[in-house]
Amino acid sequence: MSAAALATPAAINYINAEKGILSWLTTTDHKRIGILYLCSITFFFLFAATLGVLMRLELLSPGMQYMDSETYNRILTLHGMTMIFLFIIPAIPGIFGNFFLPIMIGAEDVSFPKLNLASWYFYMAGGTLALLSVMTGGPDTGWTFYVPYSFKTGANVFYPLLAAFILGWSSILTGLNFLTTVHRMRAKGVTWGKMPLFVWSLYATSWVQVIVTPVVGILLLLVLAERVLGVGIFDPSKGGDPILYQHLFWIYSHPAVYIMVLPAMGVVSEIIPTFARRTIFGYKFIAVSSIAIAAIGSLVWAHHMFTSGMADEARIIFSFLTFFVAVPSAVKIFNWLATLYGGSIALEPPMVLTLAFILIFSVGGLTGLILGALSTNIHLHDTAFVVGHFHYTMFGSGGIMFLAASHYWFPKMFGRMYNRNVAYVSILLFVIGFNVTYMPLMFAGVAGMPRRYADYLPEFETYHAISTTGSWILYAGILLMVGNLGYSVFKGKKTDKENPWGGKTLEWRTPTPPPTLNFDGEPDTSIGPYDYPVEVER
Amino acid sequence: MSDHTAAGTAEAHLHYDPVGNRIGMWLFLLTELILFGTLFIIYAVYFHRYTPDYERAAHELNRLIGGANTLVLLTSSLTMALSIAALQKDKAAQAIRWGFITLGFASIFLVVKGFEWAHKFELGIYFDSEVLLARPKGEIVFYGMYFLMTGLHALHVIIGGSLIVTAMVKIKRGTATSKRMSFLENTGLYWHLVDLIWIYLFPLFYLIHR
Amino acid sequence: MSTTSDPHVLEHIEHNEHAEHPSTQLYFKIWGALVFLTVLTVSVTYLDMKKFALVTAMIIATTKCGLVASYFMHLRYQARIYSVLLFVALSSFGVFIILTFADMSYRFH
Ligand code: HEM
Repeated sequence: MSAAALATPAAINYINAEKGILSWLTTTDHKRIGILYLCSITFFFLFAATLGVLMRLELLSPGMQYMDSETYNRILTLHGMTMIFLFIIPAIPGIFGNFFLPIMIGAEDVSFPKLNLASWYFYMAGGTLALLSVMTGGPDTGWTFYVPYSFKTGANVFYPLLAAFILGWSSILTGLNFLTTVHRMRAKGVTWGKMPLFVWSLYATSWVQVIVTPVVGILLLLVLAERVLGVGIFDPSKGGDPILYQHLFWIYSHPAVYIMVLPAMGVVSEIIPTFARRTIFGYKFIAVSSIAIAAIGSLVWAHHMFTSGMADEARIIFSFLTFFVAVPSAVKIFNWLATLYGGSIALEPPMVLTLAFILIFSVGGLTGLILGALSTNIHLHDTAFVVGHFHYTMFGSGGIMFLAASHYWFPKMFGRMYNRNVAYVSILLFVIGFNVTYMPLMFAGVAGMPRRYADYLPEFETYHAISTTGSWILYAGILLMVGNLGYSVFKGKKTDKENPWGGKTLEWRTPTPPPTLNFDGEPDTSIGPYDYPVEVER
Repeated sequence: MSDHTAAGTAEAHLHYDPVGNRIGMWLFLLTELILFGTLFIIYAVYFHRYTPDYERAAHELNRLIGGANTLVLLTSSLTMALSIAALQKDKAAQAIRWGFITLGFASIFLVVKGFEWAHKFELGIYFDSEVLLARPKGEIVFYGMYFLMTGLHALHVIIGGSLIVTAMVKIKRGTATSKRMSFLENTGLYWHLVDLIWIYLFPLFYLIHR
Repeated sequence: MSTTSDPHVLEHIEHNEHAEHPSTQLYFKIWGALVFLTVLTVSVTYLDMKKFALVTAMIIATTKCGLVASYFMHLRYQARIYSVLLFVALSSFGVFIILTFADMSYRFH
């Protein structure tokens, strides 16, 4: 076997090292596991995006046209749940974290390869359960599963709760694996201070995953127990306190938004220096702000509950804390802008998407401040403004950067190149569609349009009509983009260029596509991840 | 790197890394701590809200039986530690012996726990039962937490027990040795965690009455 | 390929890997202490401690946990990283409980 490897070392890579579906399903190679995630996550993304477009279709005009409100609720729940648990939380860590984290630190694999594969199977089990719940009618609680409705409703909440629980474990195991890998597997020369920022962001994310995911895990089991056994922990008629459920739910689910956004920010910190050809500005600040976001982000959960009947004192405390999160996020935005300043910027597709991220995410962040302030929150809570806000933040960060990362690392992963012109067109459609879909929702929300409603008063029709039109443009953009990439995996122009973009991190200094053990020989760690030539004084 | 195979499952190349294994295990233990921690938060919130009810209900649990069971579990922690110490000194037979003694204590713990539960069931105290629902709200919640937390803990005892069995098989087969301690050590860590959690569960359910 | 990483941190860990483990005798002593504390915590409930009952029970439980963690789980004998991990988890838990009570203690008097 090793003779074959020695004969044509360059030709053997992780894709052709073994053949057959079974070799993929039983692989412990982190790169192959990354590809497994890529396939399954893309599937769930398209599935949920389609559900989103269906909802928008119903909202095109007042009255019920295509579905009844029961169906709307179910589609809404499935869309939210799939997007959160099956798309945005696992997307970047599962695909690009798995594929590139070990390479970026010069390791052969993660610390626990078998566990890594097990995480994917957990993911698939959770996803399958979520899909099964569709066949039994689907849950109608919203993705938050608020009690007491979630244990009273006649709809099937059992599968989705179990699905979310299993997905939680998938997430925990991935986090645990990454943490151990970062601590133990870095090659000589890759010190903490020389770790790529993407790795730093995954490190911070993994901490959040490991610390907060068990909270929601046990909580969802408790809801199951409440439903099946009638325990009474969250049932007010038996002494339970539903608001306690909300606390515990958001203890997980607010930090979860940082699980979504931090890896995205990590990708930004890779793409910007590569295409601006400049050292990242303020490496330490960016690394530390990842940790700071993770830490502060765990303190602010109750700003989701300002109108739930919490004590006033608590509301003030949480509103106050919320404003602090904006600081480290803003530090990052300024650092990226400072990196761009004076760089020689190459507007390749991943870079364009990244710039779109900065713009869109800033809107999301600023609207977040409006919602974080107690007084304005009372007016805007549970309105379409919130729907606009969280699509701008979640879709605008994790979603966009998932697409950007796909374009950035595509040639490295597959040894092929996609059609760049098609990529530009799809990005244009995407960005226009995105803003046309979600911006009107913010205005509708300020005007009083509630969220999670299948129907509305005629006065909101203009907003909704614009938004629905936008969703078609957005959907077209997404399909074109995914289609372009999917086609290119098999039919794209072949390339074995080691470093098509001129990046400095380790993955650009190994053959394309990478060999099974990631490097031919020892990785060359003499160059730091952002060692660009000192730029000319301006 | 000459032993690398081309088709190589990358895993085959990874060095045996006891430190990494231990870090991974500790991280896992943290998730378990937080998992139970969440239940402790719920416990605390309702304790704060229904203190008198809690104290009354706690009075109905037998602190002597609970205390005895605590001693059983503590002793099993000792024997687990001794099993690890034995394997470290290459005394496989001794390690297995201590392992089985640990399992014995674990079974005693579970049996006692089972009798305690059965007794409550006889009195008509279980989830959603008429007897329980007729009581004050704080007591309903107290018993809800009692069954959930001790139940989940018992589940952990069972998982820990299966891990010990697996470890013993590995020692027997010679795949767990003084050079490859990780599996037994991590089993031990898990077992001690089960003990740690019980150390808090015991006073919180049996000893809070006045 | 080497699996080592940051020399400073890891040298420290490797070094401590070989640190001695508690002796059998010590294990038995710790067990004795645990038994004593268990008997103690049960006995004091027969006194009428009023408000201090819970506090006493928690202090004793925490002492016991400290013993189990430092000796049976070897925390005392190993690199600091494990204690740091534990600290991160426990302090997060502390924060969760404090902030939850920021609401609860005002809502239920
Ligand atoms: C094609 C893209 C998308 C479209 C057309 C879309 C559309 C919608 C619509 C119409 C709603 C219902 C709002 C309401 O009635 O209150 C909604 C809710 C939601 N969307 Fe999206 N969305 C898209 C992508 C995403 C992405 C990428 C995410 C992931 C982060 C996401 C997460 C959510 C969540 C969490 C909810 C709330 C569900 C709930 O209230 O339980 N969406 N979306």
